[in-house]
Amino acid sequence: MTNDGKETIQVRIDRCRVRRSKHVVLRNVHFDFTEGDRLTVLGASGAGKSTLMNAILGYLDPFTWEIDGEVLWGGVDLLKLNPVEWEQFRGRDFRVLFQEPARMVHPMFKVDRQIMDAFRIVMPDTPEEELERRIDDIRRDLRISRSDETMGSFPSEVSGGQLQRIALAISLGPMARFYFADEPANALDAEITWELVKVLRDKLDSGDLKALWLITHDINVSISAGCTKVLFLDDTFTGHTMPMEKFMKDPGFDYGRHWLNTQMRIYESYRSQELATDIDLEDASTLMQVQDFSYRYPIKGIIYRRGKPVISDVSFALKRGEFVGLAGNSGAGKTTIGRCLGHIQHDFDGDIVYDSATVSRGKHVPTSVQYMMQDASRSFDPNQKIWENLRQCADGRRLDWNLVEKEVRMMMERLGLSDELLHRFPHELSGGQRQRVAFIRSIMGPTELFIADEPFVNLDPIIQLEMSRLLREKREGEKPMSGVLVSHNFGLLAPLCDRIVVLSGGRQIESAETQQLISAPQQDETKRLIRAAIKLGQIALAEDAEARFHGFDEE
Amino acid sequence: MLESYLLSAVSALAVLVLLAWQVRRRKNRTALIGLILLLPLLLSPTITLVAGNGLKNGITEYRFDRFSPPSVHGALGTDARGRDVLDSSLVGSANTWAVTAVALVVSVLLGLTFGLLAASQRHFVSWLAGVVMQFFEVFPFVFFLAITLAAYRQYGYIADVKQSASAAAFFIGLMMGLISMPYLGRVVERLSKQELRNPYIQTLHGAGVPFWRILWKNILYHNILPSILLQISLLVGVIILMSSAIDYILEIGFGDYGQTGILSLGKLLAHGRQSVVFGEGLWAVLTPAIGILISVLGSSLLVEGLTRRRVTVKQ
Repeated sequence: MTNDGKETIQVRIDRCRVRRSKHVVLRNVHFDFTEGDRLTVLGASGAGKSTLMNAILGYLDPFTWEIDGEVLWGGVDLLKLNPVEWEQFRGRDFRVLFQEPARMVHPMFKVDRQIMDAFRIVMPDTPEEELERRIDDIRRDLRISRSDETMGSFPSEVSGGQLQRIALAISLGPMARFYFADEPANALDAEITWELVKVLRDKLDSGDLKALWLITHDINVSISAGCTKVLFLDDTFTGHTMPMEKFMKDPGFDYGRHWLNTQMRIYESYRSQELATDIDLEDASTLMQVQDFSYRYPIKGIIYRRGKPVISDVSFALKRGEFVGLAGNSGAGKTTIGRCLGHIQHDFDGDIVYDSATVSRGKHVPTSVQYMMQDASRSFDPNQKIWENLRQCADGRRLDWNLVEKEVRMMMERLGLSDELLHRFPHELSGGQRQRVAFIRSIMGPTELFIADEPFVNLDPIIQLEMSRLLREKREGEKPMSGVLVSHNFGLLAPLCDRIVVLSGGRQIESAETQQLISAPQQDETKRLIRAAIKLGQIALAEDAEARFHGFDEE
Repeated sequence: MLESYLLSAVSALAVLVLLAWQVRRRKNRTALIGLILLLPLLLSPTITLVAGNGLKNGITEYRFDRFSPPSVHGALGTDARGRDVLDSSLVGSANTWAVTAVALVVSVLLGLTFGLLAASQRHFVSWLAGVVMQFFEVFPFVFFLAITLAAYRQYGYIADVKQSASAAAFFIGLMMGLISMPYLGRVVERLSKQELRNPYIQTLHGAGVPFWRILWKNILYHNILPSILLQISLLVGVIILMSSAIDYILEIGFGDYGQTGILSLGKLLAHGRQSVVFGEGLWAVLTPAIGILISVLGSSLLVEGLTRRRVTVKQ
């Protein structure tokens, strides 16, 4: 605590490094995190943002990490506490939202019980009705439906976005002093991100939360959440603290300026037509056709049977060289459709006709169709090095590894990955680095159809732009690549996709050319999504189109 | 009977060299202690092979006085049937090694095969593999062994075939491997099924890598091998104990039907049971008992040391 009586975490970390490789991850990070602060931590992927949070909160394994310095909290050095001593601070004083929501929930307990438990531990003396009321509040704010389908199910049975919201409810719901959020808006669509930003602001204003620590790669989210202080981690892993206004005006050091410039330019290039291609889709032949796609989950029981369809009547066609975006709220069925298109799941109804051959029950799996899954950073064999992982996939697809390797190295260089990463094990890479390698693995060689589920999540905008450019080049190559991109972020889909299919509650509600859809959406659901995306700065509209949204507000 | 130890001696030495190489590579003290404890078991077939004729006298029954203390007729004295304890323990552990080696090979091969088959995505295959493992799980192993051994002996009498000691050891090993197969198979099945749920499997599937290759290379070789090695180490202990127990039980319970004519550590214990009851000549039981103990302990320590993650620091 400081002299004026405010609670403060005094961070004085001189150096933090990996014991084994002596690889330095943080250097000279000195700042105070005080009650009332709204701090946002910015930096490129792999700059050490999550590591810093984990170091302060004692989540780094002392056998793997070596930290020089101290983190003081009311005279206690948090770095020297053992797990038992930590228990008095965790939960009540510090609440955390981890980057992977799956880390926040227990796989064997139902969702409602886990939320209730999180409240009970922090507020043991509160009567049951009060707890119920608080849970209802947070549930309504984050739009977690009360139905048994969500609250009464196990974490593995809900969608990625829903899981993120459940993790948010667990971490954000109970009273806490200091709230640490690592990429909270990752898997959320614009509408819910906007709600989350509002919840965070309300809680800070009403004093439920005393201080906010927000790690994000999207500076728009931190601005919307009303962050006033910036901690920037640069390329030498050094920390810089300054007020938000000063950072936006001039960070005062070269790397920061470069980073901010690129960020601003990226939104410009997304808004401009830089990523558009001049492929003529009129004459192109049809590559894939989805007809009357529907999906039913199996029902629990002794006899195998399937329930009512959760996704129904989805139909669209894809031409060679065309990119189609699947957009919608979280839980709309985007991921399931993507998995079926990518041959990960085969128990769907309807037809997926690929290059005039019907794909069903996994009988015919063309390997030129590549699927990049939602948690791509986990899609590596943990006991094979990165190059062995890539090699195995190349061999499976019968590609010549010598040729592919050159392409892989070229793409890695462009996405800011050094060659030496190929000779590391997957766990030695950061989540963002693995995601980029997974992206490269999917588009290496002659990929005809690239299906990706949230390929840009977790990555900073510089990389996102470069990935988009790579996709465009592949589209314009000799063998044009087609793509189905699944995302909740209109801002990322709009510049890349020729057409966007909007899903809601398992139904296809709208399908139109991108420009037409964004400027003149027909359905209320679509309007709401686009509206929220505009508010978060993900997409911008021409002046005349703004008028159409006039009078249509979040209420 | 002593001439047929060539195969066990060669296999024991090969295993010894392999383990020594691994221990040297990992530089692990626990593993080294385990290997030292295993030395008597692994070297006994070679000693038996080399000193074959010298041992013949030692293990002939009632050649010496009963229960003569150490250093009268031999370094470790003689037992209830007038045999040299050192000589008979050596032959006993050589036989125990032969049975253990055969049982281990059989159970590892069958356990891996049935475990992986049970993790297969074809329902019929996985069901069938599960049923086979379940059969050996629920069948009481003492009766299974008693019945099969009795049948084997009976076959020898009826067909008037001379059943050599090595053939008997092989037969017991085979049966022991069969009944200990589910110990490994179930673990392999469980671990593989767990591993198959990982997202990288789906990625490999999507890249067109054949399923058997994923099962063999990614799952078995790369990811679940350490856990399986640990299970195999448990299995070594279980097999040594089980074969000793079986020999003991058959010797005291089934008379001539149970005997397959080979001397083992368990059988030496059974022969020396009077000395436990009457407290006469304790050295006669102590040697085989310690032999069993250090072999089981050694195998456990060895694999514990070898599967422990290496922590190396670059200088």
